[in-house]
Amino acid sequence: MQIVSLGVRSVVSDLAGVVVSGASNEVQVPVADMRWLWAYIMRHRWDAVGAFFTGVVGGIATAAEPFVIGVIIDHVQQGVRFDQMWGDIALMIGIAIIAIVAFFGMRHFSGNIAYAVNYDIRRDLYENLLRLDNSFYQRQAIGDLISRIHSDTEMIWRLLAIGFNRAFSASFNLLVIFVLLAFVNLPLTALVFVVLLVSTTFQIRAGAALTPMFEQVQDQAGKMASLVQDAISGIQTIKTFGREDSINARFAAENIEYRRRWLFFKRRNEPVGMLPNMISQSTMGVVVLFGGILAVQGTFTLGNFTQFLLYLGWISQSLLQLGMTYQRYQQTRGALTRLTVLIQPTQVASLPDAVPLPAPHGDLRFEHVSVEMEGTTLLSNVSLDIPAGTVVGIIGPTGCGKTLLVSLIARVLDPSEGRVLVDGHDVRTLDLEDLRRAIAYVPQSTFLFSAPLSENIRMGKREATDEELSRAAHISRMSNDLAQLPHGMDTLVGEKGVMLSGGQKQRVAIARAIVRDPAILVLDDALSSVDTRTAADILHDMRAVLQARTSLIIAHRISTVKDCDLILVMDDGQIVESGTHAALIAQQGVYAHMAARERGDSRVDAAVSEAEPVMEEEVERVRSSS
Amino acid sequence: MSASGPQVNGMKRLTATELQQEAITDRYLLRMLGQFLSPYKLQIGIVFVGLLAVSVLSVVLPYLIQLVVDGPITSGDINQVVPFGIAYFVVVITIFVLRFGYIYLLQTVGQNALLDLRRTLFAHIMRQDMRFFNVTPVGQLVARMSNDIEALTELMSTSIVMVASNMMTLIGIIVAMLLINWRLALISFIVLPVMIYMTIYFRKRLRESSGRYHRVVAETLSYINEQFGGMLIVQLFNRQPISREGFNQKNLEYREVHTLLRDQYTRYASVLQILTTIGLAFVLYGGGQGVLMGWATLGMLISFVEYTRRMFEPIVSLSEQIAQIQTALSAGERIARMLHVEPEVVQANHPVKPTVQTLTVEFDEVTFGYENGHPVIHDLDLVIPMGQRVAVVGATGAGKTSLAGLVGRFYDVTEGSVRIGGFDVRDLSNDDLRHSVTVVPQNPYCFTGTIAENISLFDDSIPRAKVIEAAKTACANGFIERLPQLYDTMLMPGGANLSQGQRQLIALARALLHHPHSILVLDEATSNIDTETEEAIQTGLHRILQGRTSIVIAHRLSTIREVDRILVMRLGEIVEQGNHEELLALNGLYAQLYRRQFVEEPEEDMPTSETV
Repeated sequence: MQIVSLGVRSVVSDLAGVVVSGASNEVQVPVADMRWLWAYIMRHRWDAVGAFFTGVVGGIATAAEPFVIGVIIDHVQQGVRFDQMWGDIALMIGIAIIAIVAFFGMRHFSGNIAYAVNYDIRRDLYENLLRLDNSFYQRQAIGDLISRIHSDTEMIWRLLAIGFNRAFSASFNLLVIFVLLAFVNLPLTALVFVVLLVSTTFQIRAGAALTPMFEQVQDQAGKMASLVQDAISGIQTIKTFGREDSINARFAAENIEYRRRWLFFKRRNEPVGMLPNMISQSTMGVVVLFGGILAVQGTFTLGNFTQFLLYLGWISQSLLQLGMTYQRYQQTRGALTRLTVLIQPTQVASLPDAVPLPAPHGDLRFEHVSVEMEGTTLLSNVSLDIPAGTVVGIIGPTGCGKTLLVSLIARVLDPSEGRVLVDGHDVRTLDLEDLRRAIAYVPQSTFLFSAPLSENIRMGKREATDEELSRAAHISRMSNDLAQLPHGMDTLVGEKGVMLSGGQKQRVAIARAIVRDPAILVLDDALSSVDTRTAADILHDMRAVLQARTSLIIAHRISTVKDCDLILVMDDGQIVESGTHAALIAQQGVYAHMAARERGDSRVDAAVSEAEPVMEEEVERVRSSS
Repeated sequence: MSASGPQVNGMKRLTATELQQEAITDRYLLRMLGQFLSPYKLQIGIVFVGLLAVSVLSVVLPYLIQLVVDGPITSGDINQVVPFGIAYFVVVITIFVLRFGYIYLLQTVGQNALLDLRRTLFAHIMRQDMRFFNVTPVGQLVARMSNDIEALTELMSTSIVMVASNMMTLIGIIVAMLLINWRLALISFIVLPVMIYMTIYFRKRLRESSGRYHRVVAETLSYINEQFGGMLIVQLFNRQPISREGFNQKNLEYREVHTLLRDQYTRYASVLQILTTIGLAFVLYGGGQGVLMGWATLGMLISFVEYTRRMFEPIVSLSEQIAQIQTALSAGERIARMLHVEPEVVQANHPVKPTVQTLTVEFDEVTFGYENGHPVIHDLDLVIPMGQRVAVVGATGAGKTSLAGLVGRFYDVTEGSVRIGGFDVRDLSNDDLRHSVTVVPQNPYCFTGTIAENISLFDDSIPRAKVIEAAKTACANGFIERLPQLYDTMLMPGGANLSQGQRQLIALARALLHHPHSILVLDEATSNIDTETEEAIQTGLHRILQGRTSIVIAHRLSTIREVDRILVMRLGEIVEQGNHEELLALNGLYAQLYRRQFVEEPEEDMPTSETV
C-alpha cells in the first residue's frame, strides 16, 4: 500500500527548525542513515547469516538447472537409451528440490529480518513521537507524519526483503553461470555478459535521472491529498458559502497537473524499464546467429546452444534483481532522510537526575518568564507567585498570551527566559511524568478520542472508580446529557462516534480533568461554549471538590472569573493588572472597563432593577452574603 | 461524466450508515470501471490489437529457433543461419516497439479515466450532507481519494495489460505447440491443470490475507491519525503507555499478517517453481523419446523447452499480479461503495424560484434528531419576520446549534418544516438557499492558504480592499496587521498558527464579505473572543445588521442585549421568548441566567458606568 507523501516541505527546513529551537543545549542531532539501519539489522544477525547461506546455495542450484537441460539434449542428440535418461531427469529434479528448499529458507530468513526490523523501527519511531513536544506537532502536518511512519518504513522492509532475499542468490547465480558458460565458449559468454551489464548500468543511471521526476509526481499527489483533506475539514464553510464549484475547479487543476506529471514520468520510465528485457531478447538473436554458426562448425553442441538460450533468461533476471536492489537502496536512503525528522530528540523531557514530585502541593511561581518565538516576544518578563490553593482567573484580549502563560506550567513548551516553579522546583528539573500527573490541563480546543464517553473521562485517571466517574460527570453536568445519548456513558464519541455539541465536548474535557483530581487545574477557555449558568454551577462545584487545589482559569467572561482569589489581566504578553475582583474594580483600570462593558449599559440595568423587585431581592441577598 | 457521479442501475442508493453492509460484487465493480473507460473504446481497441500482435510475435520466436536447429544447423549450411539470426532480431525489436506503443496509449487512457474518476469522486464527496461528514472520519475520505485511487492506477495502467498480454501469450503458445507437435504439446500440458488448480487455491487464500492486510493497515493509519491529533492530551494526561500499547498491538498484527502473506506466497511460488521443473522434465523425457522414435526433431525439443518455459511464465506472472490486482480490486470496492452513498439532504428536482427575496424564517412543528429515536429538537414553532434580530440562549445541549444547522439546511428535519421567505428549505435551490442564509459556526475552519484567501475563500475576483474592509468590520484587522506578512501570512493546516479566537474573527470577516444580504446565523461565533473585541465587533455589526434578519447564539448575555427578541431554549424546546425587559419581567430561566452573569454589587455599578 502506497501512502502518498504529504511532505511538500523539504526535510532540510524541518531539520533547521528543530536545530534552531534546540540551539540552547548543544545535542548531537541524530540522523537516520544506513548506519542507523544497520544497527537494527544486526539485532537479527543470525537471520542474516541464514539468508546469506541459503541465498548462496539457491543461487548455485538455480544456475545448475539449465546446464543439466543442455546435457540432456546432448544425450538425446547422441542417441542414449531411455533408461539412461532417468538419471539425467532425476538429477534435474534433485537440483530443483535443492533450489526450492534454499528458496524457501531464503524467503524465510529475509522475511524475518525485513519484518522484524520494520517492526522495531516503527515501534521506536512511535516511542519517540510519544515524547516529542507540542512545538513539533504544530510544525508537522499529521498526514505527513503518518506517511513517514508508514510508507517510509515500508521502503525499508522492501529493501531488506529483496536485499537479503535476492541480492545474494542473484550474485552467486551470475557468478556460477559465468563460470559454466565460460567453459563452453568464452568469447560468446563475454559478449553476452558485457551487453547485459551495459544495459543494466544504463538502467540504473537512467533510474537515477528519473527519480526527481518521480518525486515531482509524489509531490503533486501530496498536494492533491492536502487539498482533499483541507476541503473535507472545511466542508461546512464550503457548503455555507456555496464554494463547491470553486473547490472542484481547484481540485481539477491539481488533478490535471498530476496527470501531466505522471504521464511525463511514465513516458520516460517505461522505455527504461523495458530496455533490459529487450536487450536480453535481442541478445538471444546474437546467440541464434553466432551459436548457430558455431554449431554448424561443430565447436558448439545443441546442448550448449540450449544452455545459452536458457541462461540468457536467467542472467537478465538476476541482473534485473540486482538493479532493483540498487534502486530500492536509493529509495531507502531517501526514506531514511525523511525518517530523520522523527528521531529528533524532544525539547521537553525529564533530565536524567529529575526530581520526583510524589505529593505535589500546587505552589506556583513564575520568575521573569519570557517566551520568544520566531523573533516575536509573546510573553515578556512575567513574574508571579501563586500559593497552593489559589484560584486564579486570567482575562485579556484574543492573542495576548494567556494560553502561552498557562501552557508553561505543564511544559507544553519551555520559556525562552526565566523559570517556572512548581512547589519550589523549576519545572524543567522535575520528573515530567510526575509534573503532568500533578496537573490537569484542559486546552482550548477539546479533543475526544474515538472511544466510549466513560473511557474518554477515565483518561484523566486510569484507575478511577465508577463513583469517581459519575461524580465527575455530575460536576461537569455531563450527567444532564446522558439521557439524550443513545448509550449513556457507553456512547461512542470522537471522530467515529456520535456528535456532541461544543459545550458537551468541553464538559467531557472538564470531567476528564476533575476525575484526575490534580494539584493544579488549568482551564484554558474551557467553558466558552458552556452557558453561563451551567458554567457557574460547574465552577462552584469544582471549587468544593478541588479545595486547596491551585486553579488557573482563562476566560473571556468576567462572570466566570469574578469570584477568583486572584485575577490577572493580560495584554500583549504582559500582566497589566492583578488583584481580586473588588480591588480591580476599585482600581478603575482595564478590568473595571471590561466589567462595565460586559454588563453593558448599566443605566438600562438600573431601570430594569427598579422595575423588577425580585431582582432587587436577589441583589440584596448577594450583597448580604458577600 | 456529470459532476453528480455515475448512477449505475441495479444498485439501490445507500445512506452513509448502510454503506458498510452492502456487498459490492466484482461484476458491479468492473462495470463501474468500465464506465470510466467507455469514452476510450477506440484506443482500448487499438491496444488489444497491439497486444494480439505482440502475442503472436512472441510465439514465433521459439519457432525460429526450432527452424534454425532443424534447418541450417542440421544441414550444416552457415549462410542459412544468418537470415534466422536477423529475423529473430527484427521480431524482438518489433515486439518492443509495439509494446511500447500500446503501453503508451493505455497509460494515457488510464490516466484520463482516473482523472475523471478522481474528479467524480471528489465532487461526489463534496456533495454529501453534513450527517455524512459527521460519521465519516476525514482520514478515511482522504484515503479513498489518494491511496485507493493510487491502487487503481496500477490496475489500469499496468495490471490490465499484463494480465491481457499474459492470457493471450498463454493461448498463443498452447495453440502453437499443438500445431507444431501435438504429442509433445500434450506431454508439456500435463502439469498445467495442477498449476491452474494451485493458482486458484492460493488466489483465494492470498485474497483473504491481502484483505486482512489492508484492514490492518487502515486501522493502523486511523489509529495513529487520532493519536497524533490528540497527542497533547496523550502527553498531558500521561497516556503514553496506553497509546504505546495500542500502537504495539497494531504493529504486531501488521507484522503477523505480513508474515502470513509472505508464507503463503512462498508456498505458492515454490509449488509453481517445482511444477515448472517437472513440466520441463516431462518435455525432455517425452521429447527425447520422440526424437529417438522419430516423431519429434531436436529442434522441436529445444523450441519446446523454450515454449514450456514461456508457457509457465505468464502463469507465474499472473500469480504475481494477483496480489496487485487484489489490492486494486479491494480499493475499487471501497471507491464503489463511496460512490454509492447518496446524500439525504439534496436539492429538489424542480426547486422553486422565489421572485422576491424575503428573508423570514419559520419553523413549523419541527422535530429533529441526529440519531433515530433521540430527538434534540421537539415540535418547535418559530416565526422570525424579515429584519428581526433574534438571539438564542440556553444551557448547553439545549439544541441551539441544531437549530442553526436547520436554518442553513445542514440537516433535514425529521418532522415539520423549516421555511425561508415562505418556502420550505427543501424546495429551494442550493444556490438560493446559500444566498439566503449564512451560518458562522462555533469552530470555524481555516484553509491552508493566506489570510486574505481565507476571507475571500479563494475568490480572486474579490478586490483586496473589500477583504480588508470585511476584516475591519469583524475587528480582525487588529491582529492581522501585527502579523509579519499581514494579509498574505500563510496559515498552517487547520489554521494551527492562529488562536481559536483569531480563527473566529476570520470566519466572521468571511461571513461579512460573502452574501452580505443573507440571514446571518452566528452560532457562538465569538465565544473565544474577549469582551472588548466582541463589543467592537458588535458596534460594527450593529451597523451591518440593521434591517438584516439574524440569529445570534451566545452565552455572554451582553452580546445579545440589543436584539429585538430573545429565545430561551431548553431540551429542544423554546421555553421563553421576548425582549430583554420582557424576559426579566417574566422572571424565568432568562432572568436567572441574567442574574448569574450580571449581578454585581451596586456601588460598583455607579462609577464604572461613568467610565463607559
